[in-house]
Amino acid sequence: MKTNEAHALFQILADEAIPSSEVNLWPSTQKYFFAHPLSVYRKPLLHPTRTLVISGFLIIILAGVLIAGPHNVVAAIRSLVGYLPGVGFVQNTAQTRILSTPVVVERDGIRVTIEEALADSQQTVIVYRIDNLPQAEKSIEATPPTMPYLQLADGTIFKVTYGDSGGKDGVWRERLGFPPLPVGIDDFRLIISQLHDQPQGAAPENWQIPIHLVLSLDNPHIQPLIQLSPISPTLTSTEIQQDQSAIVPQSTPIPTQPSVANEIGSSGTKNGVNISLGEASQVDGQLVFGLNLHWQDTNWRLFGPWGRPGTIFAETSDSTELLITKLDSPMVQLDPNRQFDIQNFEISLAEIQGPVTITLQSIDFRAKNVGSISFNPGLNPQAGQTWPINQTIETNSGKLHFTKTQLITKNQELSCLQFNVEVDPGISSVALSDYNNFDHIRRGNADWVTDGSGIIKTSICYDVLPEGQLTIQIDSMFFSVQGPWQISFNLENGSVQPISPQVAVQFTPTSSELAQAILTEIEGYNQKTKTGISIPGWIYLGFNQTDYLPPNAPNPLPASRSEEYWFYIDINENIIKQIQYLTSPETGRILVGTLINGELSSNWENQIVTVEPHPLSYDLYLASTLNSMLEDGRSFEIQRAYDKIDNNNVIRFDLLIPYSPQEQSLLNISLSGTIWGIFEKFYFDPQSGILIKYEHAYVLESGERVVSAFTSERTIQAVSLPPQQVLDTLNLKK
Amino acid sequence: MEEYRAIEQIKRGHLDGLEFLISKFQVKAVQTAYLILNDRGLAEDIVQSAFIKITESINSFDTHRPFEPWFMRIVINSSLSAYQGLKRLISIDEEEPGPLPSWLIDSSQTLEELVETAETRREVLDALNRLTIKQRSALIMRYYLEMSDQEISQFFQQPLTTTKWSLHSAKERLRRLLYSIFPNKIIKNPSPSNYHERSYHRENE
Repeated sequence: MKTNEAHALFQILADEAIPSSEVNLWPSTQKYFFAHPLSVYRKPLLHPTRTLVISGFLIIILAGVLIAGPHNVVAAIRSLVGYLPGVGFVQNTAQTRILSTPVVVERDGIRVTIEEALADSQQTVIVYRIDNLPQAEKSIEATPPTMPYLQLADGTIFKVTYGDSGGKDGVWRERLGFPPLPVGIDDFRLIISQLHDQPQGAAPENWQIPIHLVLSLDNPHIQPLIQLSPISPTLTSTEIQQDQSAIVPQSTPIPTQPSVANEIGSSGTKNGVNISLGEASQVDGQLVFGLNLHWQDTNWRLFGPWGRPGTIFAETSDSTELLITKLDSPMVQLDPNRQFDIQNFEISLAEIQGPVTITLQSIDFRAKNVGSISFNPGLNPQAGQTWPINQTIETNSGKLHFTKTQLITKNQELSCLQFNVEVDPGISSVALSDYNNFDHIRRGNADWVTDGSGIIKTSICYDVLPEGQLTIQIDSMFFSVQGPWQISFNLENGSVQPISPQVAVQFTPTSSELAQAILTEIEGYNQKTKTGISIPGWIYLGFNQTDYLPPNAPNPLPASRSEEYWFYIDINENIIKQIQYLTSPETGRILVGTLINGELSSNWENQIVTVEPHPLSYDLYLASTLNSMLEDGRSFEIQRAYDKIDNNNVIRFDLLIPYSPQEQSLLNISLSGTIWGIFEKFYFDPQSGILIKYEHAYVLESGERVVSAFTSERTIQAVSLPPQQVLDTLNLKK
Repeated sequence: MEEYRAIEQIKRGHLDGLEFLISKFQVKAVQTAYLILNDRGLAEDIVQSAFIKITESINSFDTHRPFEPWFMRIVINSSLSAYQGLKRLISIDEEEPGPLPSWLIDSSQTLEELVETAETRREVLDALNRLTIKQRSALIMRYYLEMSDQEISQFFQQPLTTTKWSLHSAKERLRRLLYSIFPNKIIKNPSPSNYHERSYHRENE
């Protein structure tokens, strides 16, 4: 027998059973780390309270692939020229495209809302939230088999390159980064095979959400940068120098980190860390600004998000404390060496009177591989046996003194060595490992000290305690670096004036004369539409419909669909026969309803209702609505504008109607703010008079418009006879 | 990207390093676990867990050492643990191998002929599964992963002589199996049996 022949045999058998093309463990593994971020997922070694804090609403994971050296960091930051809420500071160039309105898709009560989307030359970012997500136990098995991805019309797929996510109470928000889309590609789909942490079959799967982007320069959603005037740093150079010599490791090279000790807009370096002022913008009455964090030790990793409440404060010159809220961090991995990070914060502009001082009290870090201890448990060690250690490890961040260890057995399966460690103030926890016996390590556990007691119990567990000399490595040391670090700034020479935190709706009621003139024009379009329709006779009506907000119905039609109607109009202009079809990705083309003999049968709702003969509304009741409001003396605003659809001239009417208190009380929809009224756009083809496009939006008191539905490619035409399928359906109903 | 670079990336928290390692080693790892366990789903679960485990503990890895043997040892160890968990055996060492199917003993098929059909490939796998788990693992390490006797000895944490003896007995059994697969190629007599005569005659025909 030859080795290569045996190897060939095994290879054939293995290839037969497991073809290489069928093995792909990356997506599910990536998803695991998406839910259990690399920087914080050592759960057995964390104090439960700490874990809870870290895994709060926003868990940051950093899996960036867009790598820029530290020398490029400043240039990268300088190129950011606008702030997109939910995404962060982004490029805003002629090629930047963003989502014009949120996209909402709901299935089985679970709602996915695309809140923001951005495509520029560096990245594509999608921000979405999931509401009413069923509670599911986290496990590897429960994680989706694939990450969400983008799919273009030609089938091209864009995989996630980085992102962050977080949520609680049935709400989950994901902010995902993808490679840049090709220029000119503005339509694509977000594919979510399985929702976050949902086991297979537990929730609707294979979500395909259409996304359409528009040029950002045509949309004021990206806020321009504003200038802040930094005030000189707090620390003196003497303080800084003394501080560095005492604590900052001298052995750590810092080749690319320029000195920022005396730089305006920087806190100065203290304990190896400094903060500096980043970009700023204003959004909805808030000052949004970035804080840059630099640290010098290459072995330090940020542990958890920094700038949490209780560690960061903002105050005015008269010591009035301002509410400072952490927003987000850049999607791009800025520094592969992990010595640089950015967080964005916001403060209400209305509260800013004069200089503002930001104070960061402390930051949590983790240091890797800070040293090792060794000891020999001897032969036949017994549970409960104790060994003196008395070994000290000096680190750049403090001292660890291992006093003793004890053998503890757990569940008769694990042999654990529990070490007592006296630590310097600021050191919170110590995690151990045994590289030489790695295969036998089952888990570890460590105290989390925050009260300054200075003694940590930390253990390492084996399936079988190895014999002989053991070398235990300090795999991770968690510690807090104390500041404070401070920066102060002013708003630039009044270039940004504090504004009211709430922007009122811009509403100017239209005079009855102007409204009447517009009504006459619209009635003229309706009359044009009817021209050529023989009465009695058949009419075809078709359109595409997208519902961005779920209609208030128990069983709403698919959010994205095409609808076709065939109406038979009698001599009195009333509809007496009607057939409705619907086409959508979920359903294909299906019969939705028929009207015959005064009975409207809904195949969708599976019910029959009696309806009176009624006329067809050619303009979605725009003329009749205007008529009613004019008769009632109700205030509304309507504007007439020239517009283009597919390069054809169209007439657009923008209608803004405030809700009465009674109407508001009847609303059954929940948005991010109080609903003030509705805003509608009607697009008429002046040649045919046909209403060809329509948009419906809710207007919030803040002035924000939330588009709820969109109708396009609307066509109306007379037909001598409907298709045979329609006639057959009617005959069957008879 | 080289392995050490990928590992350094993981140490810095970059998952693209892990993606590289998965793409490079997942097939061999899953196939190894499958050959030991004869359960594809379980094999994939074990290998995924192994990748997660090594990522969690990546700092314990010395980038100057080769990654693959370290990782494969974890996969094999996990497979053996899973096998024991399945309670397919009362004791690995006490297990008696089952008899080989007669068609294997009498076969005059070549390797190409033998593995030509799915049915015979299935039967070869079944025959392998009649080895003890330790024999099978040792053979997989030796012939599929092409590990040295020394490495296998270290894995099982037993003296080299014990490993050689275990491997010898496993090889004897495999030799019988392979004899029926390679009747024209195996000259040496797998003892004890009458295969030698058959082999001898075939070689002289």
